[in-house]
Amino acid sequence: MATPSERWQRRARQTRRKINCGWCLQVCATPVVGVALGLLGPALWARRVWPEAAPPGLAWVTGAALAVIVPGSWWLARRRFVTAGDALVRLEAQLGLHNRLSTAAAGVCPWPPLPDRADDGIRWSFSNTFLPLLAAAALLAAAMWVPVKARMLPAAPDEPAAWAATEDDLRELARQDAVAPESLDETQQRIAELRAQAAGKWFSHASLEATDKLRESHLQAMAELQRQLRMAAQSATRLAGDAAGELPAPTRAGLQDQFKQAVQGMQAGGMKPNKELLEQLRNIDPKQLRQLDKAQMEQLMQGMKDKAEALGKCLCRKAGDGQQQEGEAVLTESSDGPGKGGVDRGPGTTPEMFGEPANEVAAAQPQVLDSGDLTRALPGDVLDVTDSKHEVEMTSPALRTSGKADVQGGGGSTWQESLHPREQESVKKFFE
Amino acid sequence: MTHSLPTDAEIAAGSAKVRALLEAMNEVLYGQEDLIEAVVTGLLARGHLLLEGLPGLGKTELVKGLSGAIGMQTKRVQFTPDLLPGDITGNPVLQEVDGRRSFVFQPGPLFASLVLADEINRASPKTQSALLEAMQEGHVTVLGETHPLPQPFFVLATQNPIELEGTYPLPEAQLDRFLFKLDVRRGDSATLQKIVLNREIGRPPVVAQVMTAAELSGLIDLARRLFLPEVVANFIARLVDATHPGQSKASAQVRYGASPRAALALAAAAKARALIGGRPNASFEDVKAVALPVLRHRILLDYQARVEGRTSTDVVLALLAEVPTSAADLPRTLHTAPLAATHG
Repeated sequence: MATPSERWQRRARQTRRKINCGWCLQVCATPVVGVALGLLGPALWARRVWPEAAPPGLAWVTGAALAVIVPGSWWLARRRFVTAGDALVRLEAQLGLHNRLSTAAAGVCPWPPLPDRADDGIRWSFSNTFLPLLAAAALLAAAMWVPVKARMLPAAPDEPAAWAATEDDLRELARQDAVAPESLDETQQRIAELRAQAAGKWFSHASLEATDKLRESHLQAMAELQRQLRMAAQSATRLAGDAAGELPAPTRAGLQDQFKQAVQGMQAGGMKPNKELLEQLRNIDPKQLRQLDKAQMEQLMQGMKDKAEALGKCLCRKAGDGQQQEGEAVLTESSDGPGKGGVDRGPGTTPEMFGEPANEVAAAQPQVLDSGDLTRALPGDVLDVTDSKHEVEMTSPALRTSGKADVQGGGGSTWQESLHPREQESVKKFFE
Repeated sequence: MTHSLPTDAEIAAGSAKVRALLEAMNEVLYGQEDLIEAVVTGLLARGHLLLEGLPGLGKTELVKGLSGAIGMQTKRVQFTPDLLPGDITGNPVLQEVDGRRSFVFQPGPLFASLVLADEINRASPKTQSALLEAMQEGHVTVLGETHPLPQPFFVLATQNPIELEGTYPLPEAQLDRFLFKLDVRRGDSATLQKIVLNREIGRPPVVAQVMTAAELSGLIDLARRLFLPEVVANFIARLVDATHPGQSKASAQVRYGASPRAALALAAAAKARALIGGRPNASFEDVKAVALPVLRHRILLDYQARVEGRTSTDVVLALLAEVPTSAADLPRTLHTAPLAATHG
């Protein structure tokens, strides 16, 4: 059973806690509202820029701010804190005890009994306590949940498609081990140099020109290597197949030269084949090809075939992808056509193009029809175009009109005698 | 300052005696219960009182009744402009005894336990000074010879707030010597009816003596020994400090605030009031109850306040509303509810 002293002291501690809590709330109200206000703008901006990362980040920042503000407020409010003795004074003043509690605490008189309802008379001020906190919470909620349009970040500009296509080729060739790595490195290096320019210059005239040259030379090198591989394979096959020596000597010599030229071309070309294959081809004497056993021959042929196929694959891809010009690709990407964009999308602009629209119907130009079915040709269709000299009659024509022949007479009598009356009238008018 | 605290029995006995005195006084002066309590409080606080009120309100009757109830020697002096200091302190008189002549001091009216200084503001400053010296020092000095006054010694001075022509208002320094300045107000019609029914002109009322001067001295001593909690002393200090210009909002138009003597007066009066209430200690309530009569004649207002019609009473009431009992402020997040009913 607690004594009156203990009961009063406990009651005083409750009052003290309430007052000290009030001080803490008063001190922290301003910074809390300030932080909430300060966070509002950056939070909305962050949600616009980083829609996914902003809410957790805001929660962390808010938590960190509270972790600083609350202890800081306690520290600042500490000097205003009341003691249990102060709380006792408030209680005795509120309860009209004529300072009996202070007197009892001094040991002058006994403690009075604690009434059933010892109200300290201290009430929370809603406007001063909860309004700032509610305002801060509302601001933070607004920062967290007010709908914000996520900013469309500028996409990294697409690089010229030729770079990617060339790099795909290089990767494919490297994967197939079809070409000597040194041959690929040079091209790769040039692409890297082009890419090292400022992104805004990737599609400059000079850059596109360099890109086209690079792509062209790359394709040419691949085509050349493929051609030489095929040529070497073809001549080697025929030479190897002539085990019985049935080929006439000039033909054989021609095939041997062809093989040799192909190997030399591979060695001197911009794109060299696999080093192992090249070494193997170089060590083969075309005259001795007939003496290679079947397995060796098959291995050699398979090697050349694989490399040629790899090159062909890259070249085929070029044939499919190369239809679209660089400029058109860029324009297509950058145009705001329908079906793209977000809620503010519009009808979009018409696709841009370089130059005048092409005249689809070239009616004035004769074209050759592929169809060989001449029975279905229509009148006016050009059935054939030949390239030949015109047949010119070298002899002087002798004009004879109405039974008169005047080869030497000049044109004077011609227009008078051979023209129709209306024509004659026109000529006459001209010379007047 | 060390003294033994009174026991509960002493306090109860003392309180009973004081209440008997109050009842006796109330038999004499109808409808002035608050005034009588204030006067008795002033006596128990060992203070001199200044009663201000219109003629005929019973000031003199109050003093006479008090003297009768306590059984103290009482003298009355009507202050006039031609009253000399010697007229109240006493004069040396040439006396011949056995052929030898010598000056013998003839005590004046101040030599009484209870002196009624009627219309003190009509006396010259010189005479006022003589009276106020006696009030402060407890003795008078005539021709270099000091004569102690009887103890206890109380001066109950009166002054008329009207008819100020030819008067000498008491200077602030002298007003400060008075513990209380009490306003004597007229009673209501019921009180007047009671007076008419029970009193006759020319027949002073008979007051029963309820205690002796020695017992009064004992009660004064008892009141002095009552406990003054530190928080109450702190409240008194803050209250008196707040009377000075710039120390509070209420003192904005105050020219001079209350002196430390006012703080001592507040403490003594609060203890005396606690004794009347039979409590072992002075409290905030006691201080608030005596703050007005203690402070209002010690606060000097500036010209602007006088022009606006503000009085020192207004200032004291504003101070009581402004200065909190607890030194520890409440944060803005909290506020105090209206005071509960008095407990215990």
